[in-house]
Amino acid sequence: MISTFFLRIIPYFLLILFIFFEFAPAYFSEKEIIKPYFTFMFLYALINNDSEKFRPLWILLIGLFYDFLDGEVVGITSLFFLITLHLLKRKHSTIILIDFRIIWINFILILLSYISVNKLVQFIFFDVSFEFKRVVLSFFISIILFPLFNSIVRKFNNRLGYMNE
Amino acid sequence: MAFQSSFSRGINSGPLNRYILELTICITVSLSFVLMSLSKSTTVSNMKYFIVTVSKPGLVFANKPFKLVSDFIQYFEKMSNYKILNKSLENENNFLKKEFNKVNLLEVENFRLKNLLKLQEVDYVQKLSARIIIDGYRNDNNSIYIDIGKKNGLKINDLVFNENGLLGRVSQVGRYSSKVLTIFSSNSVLPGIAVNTKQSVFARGDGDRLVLKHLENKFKLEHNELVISTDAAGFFKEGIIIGKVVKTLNDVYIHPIAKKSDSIFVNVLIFDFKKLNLD
Repeated sequence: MISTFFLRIIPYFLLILFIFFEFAPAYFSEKEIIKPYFTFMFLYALINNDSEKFRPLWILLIGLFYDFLDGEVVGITSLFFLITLHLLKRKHSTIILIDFRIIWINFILILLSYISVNKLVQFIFFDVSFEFKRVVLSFFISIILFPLFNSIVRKFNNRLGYMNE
Repeated sequence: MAFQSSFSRGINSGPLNRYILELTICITVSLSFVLMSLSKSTTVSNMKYFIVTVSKPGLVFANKPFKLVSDFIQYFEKMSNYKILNKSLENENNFLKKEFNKVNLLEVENFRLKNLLKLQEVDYVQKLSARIIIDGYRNDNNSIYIDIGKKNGLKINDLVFNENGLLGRVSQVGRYSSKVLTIFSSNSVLPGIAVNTKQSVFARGDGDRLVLKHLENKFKLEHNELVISTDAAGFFKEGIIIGKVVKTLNDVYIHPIAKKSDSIFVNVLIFDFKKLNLD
């Protein structure tokens, strides 16, 4: 029972850790590192693999925490993920098995719209311009790394389901 | 095959089903946070700085692996060309010994002149050390967050620098943490003076360089000459290194000497205008 509890809290613990990794200053030999959207990838993979177990309240709290560390517009990440959660839940209730390519394309589209909306709002309301090169690089690294994240989360979920049975 | 009871089926299909209710409440909360931050609410700002401060241990912990790898790489880089490094350090040491003797003479002269003019030492500048806890490298024009705030006496526009030179200025102050607008930001404009040609310049951030503003003939500046800060408009402390002039065939710009990545620790100059005005 204790091991199941620990296995259940691991995703939340990892999410918090990814948020810290994303915002902690990271320099290698006096050069800045381009970090992917760790939190976005991991949260999307979690929702995609187990949308039934993921409660909206946790998404709200994690999204708000991310935004408080991120920038000016607080609440935008949680809003995005709450809508994503609902859309994925509807999709999973009607379709049993979704091809990974469709999941990947959905991820790319959602990440792209998240970045565009976030940056546009910051630019319009706060007159904040952004580092285009870094954002584009982070976006592409996230796209490349998503299959890896998704497979790890899927394997973890299968293991958790197996242990529960 | 199991079927749900008619009672639970009735609840799940209605608008008051637990999931829909929770989702609606969460979306409403998110939307209100978005609207509050768009209206630049002080509550959201205070909450933000509180969460940044509370997150410091986690952010420091997350920085540790990066720092370890970075130190490891730097160590091997230095070890691979230690002979060249040793020679350059010996030269630097000899140069600094000569400079140190000159400074000693100047200090004595300065002390005598102050005594002649009956000038009193006024301590209106305080230097504090801080740690970079958040590097929003994708957002906000290269802004960073440091772990000191109002409680330590920080104010908006206090200067932030490291051992190499000027890094930026405080743009927002929380109780225990603050936001720093770095010199690389396009919103940052610095007043400076070129050391050799004595030309006054205004340098605006532009990625990894600083572009010169309001200067009629940029090409009068010398290549590689040092640019230091001046106290123009009363906002800045003079004499902090900003960067070196770079002259190309069709452009002149400043290459900043200090970088965020130089060190995780920075210094902040707290300038006490009240004391200055009393004098």
